[in-house]
This record gives sequence, structure tokens and C-alpha cells, in this order.
Amino acid sequence: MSQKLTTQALTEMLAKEAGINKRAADTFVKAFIQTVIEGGIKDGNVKIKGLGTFKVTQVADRESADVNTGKRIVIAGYKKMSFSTDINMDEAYESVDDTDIKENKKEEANADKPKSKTKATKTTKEKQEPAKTSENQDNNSVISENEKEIQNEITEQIPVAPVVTFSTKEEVTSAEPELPKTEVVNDSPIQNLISRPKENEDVDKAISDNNDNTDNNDNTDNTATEETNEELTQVEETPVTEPVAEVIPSKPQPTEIENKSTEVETESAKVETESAMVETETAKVENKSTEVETETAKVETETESTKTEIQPTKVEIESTKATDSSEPTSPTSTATSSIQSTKKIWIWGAVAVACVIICAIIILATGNSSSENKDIQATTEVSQNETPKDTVVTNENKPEDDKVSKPKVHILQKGESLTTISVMYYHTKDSMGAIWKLNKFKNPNDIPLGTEIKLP
Amino acid sequence: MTHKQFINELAKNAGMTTSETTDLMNSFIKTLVDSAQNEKTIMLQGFGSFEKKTKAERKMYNPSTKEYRIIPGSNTLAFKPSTLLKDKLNQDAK
Repeated sequence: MSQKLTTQALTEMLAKEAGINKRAADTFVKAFIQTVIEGGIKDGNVKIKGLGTFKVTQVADRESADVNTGKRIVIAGYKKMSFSTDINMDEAYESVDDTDIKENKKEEANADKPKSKTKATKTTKEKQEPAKTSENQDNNSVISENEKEIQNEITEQIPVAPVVTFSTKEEVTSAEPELPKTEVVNDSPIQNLISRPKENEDVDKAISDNNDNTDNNDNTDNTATEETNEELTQVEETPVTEPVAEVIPSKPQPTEIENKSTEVETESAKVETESAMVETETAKVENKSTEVETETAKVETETESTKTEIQPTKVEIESTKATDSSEPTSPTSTATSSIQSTKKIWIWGAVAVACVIICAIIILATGNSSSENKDIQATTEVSQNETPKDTVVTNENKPEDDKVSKPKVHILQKGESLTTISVMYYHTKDSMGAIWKLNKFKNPNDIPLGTEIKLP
Repeated sequence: MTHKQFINELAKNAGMTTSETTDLMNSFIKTLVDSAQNEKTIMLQGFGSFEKKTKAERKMYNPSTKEYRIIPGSNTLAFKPSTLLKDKLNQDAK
């Protein structure tokens, strides 16, 4: 390009490199040329390791038109020598420049991607990007400016991100519990009805065992705040004043407990406290009771886990309430357990709290007392809060699936060819062959109009 | 013609042993590639010219996966046969 090396210069360089005199180098180069040409004529190709392959190919005769006269002329065929190299010259020297180019392109690609996609995916990808870019920064100082710009963009966008990340969490949390939720809600009335007597028997057995733990918990209760004590007094007073639930004679206490909780706390916190109580006691039950309970306990824990997982997705204020309320309730449950009578009530009630929620739904159908309707409203509200989120998530997932499935059939119009279709759908002529293969046209130049062409 | 055959033939033409020829051939390739790397065109009279050629990067579309892929550019060694070589080839053919 810039400089030209003649045969003489090359022989001089070769003589230096190999440590021989110029004459020997000259003869060698001439012999090299001679053998390549002879080999090419003789065999058609000459393979040289480390350099490449010389090939002699025949160019066929071709017709052309004389520019002046317009007559047809036959240009005679001839032989030519082509060369394909084995050497990848990038490996030895050009590695630094090429990596710069590649990384710039990667960054461009990364910067372009999130714009087209949803917010949720945006944030996740943008989080990944800074890590990548920071790694690249160490390697190359050339790209650092571009990366800084990108990072600045990312940092500007990050404050918006936490709002969006909730949606991702919702997707993750709600997507998992969807199945257990529906199953449990449907199945739990039956399972709980069956499991009640078993659990009660086991619980009575377990009470003696629980005493040790509850004593230990009582020590922690002493450190509990005054609010919990106030709650306890309210809890103790309320069962006397309020009537026992009429619907289920076997379980008066659980309904009472719910009423207590309604007085003590807000509606949103209600369900959360119930779940927390059930969590603590199911944990005990799981620890001490035998194999029979484990299945029901697991089902209950699944319901609780789903509830607790969904709650953080609510407004932050509610979540803070939930944390505040859930903390005092656990000591209350243990505090009441110090007295054996109340203990039985608590264990009984807490085991049946999940049942009561379902019973409340049944009561809603029958339409009984007003105080229970409040609870039902709370539960229904919770269920309503759960359901729209699920629908939102499903809606978010569906359009993505629709995007993936493109229209796969094209009806051939007049003036169209496989090439134009290829350009239309894939913006390149190259996939014309793929369309041809897929449809198995015998002659791609003669396709009847209106034929449905499958697209790969 | 394989590499082995070529070396044997070259040794005959140059009047050297095969081992000497292989060593010299390696150093010859090295000088050729090195000088081509340094933006130099190697003109071998009666044969052709070797030159470093930059292949531009290009976009490729894979219809089965529906993805665009950037194939990065690369540098290769290109050979352009001289008119003398062409004449020689066609002379012998006739």
C-alpha cells in the first residue's frame, strides 16, 4: 500500500531472517515461485502450511457485446490463480484495535436494547450494564468516556428504578404463589375440616411440650412494650362481652380472636396478624406434632407465605404497619399462653384461624352477623388486592408471547418475489433461500399468485 | 499438491535438502507476513503481489433464530496474481 517491497528487498530480508547469503535466498524465492506455478499447472492447487492455498481455476468463455457495434463477442476463457490464506492476521498484531471496536459495539447494542423493551426488563438490564462497563473501564481507557456517559445515564435512571423493581418483585413473588394460592383456597376448607380433630388431639398433646417453649417466650415477653399489654387486656376483655360465633359451635374461640384483632388493629393489619399468629403456631405444631399434621401444616404455611409475600408489594405504609403489627402480636400469643386456659384458646384458635377465614367466606354467602362481615370484607379486600395483581402480571406476560409469534404466512401478491418478501420481513435478501427451502418451490420464479408462503 | 509434495518439489528446484527447505520456507513465510503486516505490498516478479486486506465488518441475519449478528471485520493476507503469471498459466494450457 504505502510501501512496496520488490523481490530483491524480500530476499534481503529473508537472508537476514534465515542467516544465509543473499544468493541462496534469491534462488530459494525463485524456486518457490517456480514450484508454485508448476504445481498449480500440474495439480490445480498447492497447499502450503502456515501460508495458504494457491488454486488454479478455469474461467469459462462468456459472451459480451461490442460497445461500438453492438455485436456479440465471445470472450475466451482463461485460467487464473486464486489464493486463500490460512493466516489470521488479527491474532498477532491487530488485537488491541479490534477489541476496542467490538466493545464499542457491545455497548451500543446494550444501550439500544432496553429502550425497546418493558420497564421491568429495563431496570434489570441497566443494573447489569454498569458492572460490565466498569469491567471494561479497567481494560481500556479509550472507551472510558463513552462508558461514563452511559453510566451517567444509568445513574439518572436509577432513582426511577425502585418503583419499577416492585413490579419485578411482584412478578417473581406472585408468579410463584399463583398455583398454591388457588389450590389452597379451594382445598383448604375440606382439608381443614378433616384436619381439625387430628390437629386438636395433637395440639393437646403438644401443649405440655409447648409449655417449655412458652416459658422461654415469656421471658422475652417481659421485654415487650406496653402496647402489647394493652392489647392483651383488650383481648382478654373482649371475649366476655361479645357473643360466641353461632355458625360453628365447635370453634367459638377463633371467631372471638378475630374480633379482638379487629378492635386492636386496622383491617389491613388484621389479616397479617392472623397470618403471623398462624405462622408461629404452625411452626410449633410442625416442630412437635407427628407426621399427620405436616401435610396440613405445609398447606397452611404455603397460604401464609403467599400472603406475606404479597403484602410487601402493597403500599409501603401498609408494609410498615404490617411489620409493626406483626411484631407485637407474636409476643401476645406467647404471653397469653402463660395461662393454660388462654393458652388452649390461643392454640385452638390459631390453628383454626385459617379455617375461620374460610368459614367467614361461607358466612358471607349466608349473610349472618355484621361483625363477621367486617372480617369478610377485610379478607375479600385482601383477595381483591391479590387478584388484580395477578391479572396485571398475566397481562404483562401475554404481550411478550404475542410479540414472539410473528405472522408466519404471506400471501403472494402481484409483482412480488421471494426476494422482495425476504426484504419485507427480514430486511435482507439472504433469507430468500430459507423461504425457498421451507416452501419447497420447484421454480421460485414461477409461483402462482395468491399462494401462501410460509415464513421461517 | 500437498505441503509435503510441495516441499519435496521445492527442495529439488532449489537444490537443497527437505529439512533445509522447511526451515527456509518457515522464515520466508514469516518475513512475508511480517512485512505485509507493516502495511507493505510484497511484489514478487512473475508471480504476483501479497498484501494485507481489511475485511469490513458486516451484519448477518439468521432467519431461524431471527437475530441480527455483527460479524467483526478482520485482516487477511490477499494475493493478486500478476499478468505474467496469468500468461504463463494460459501458455501452458495451450
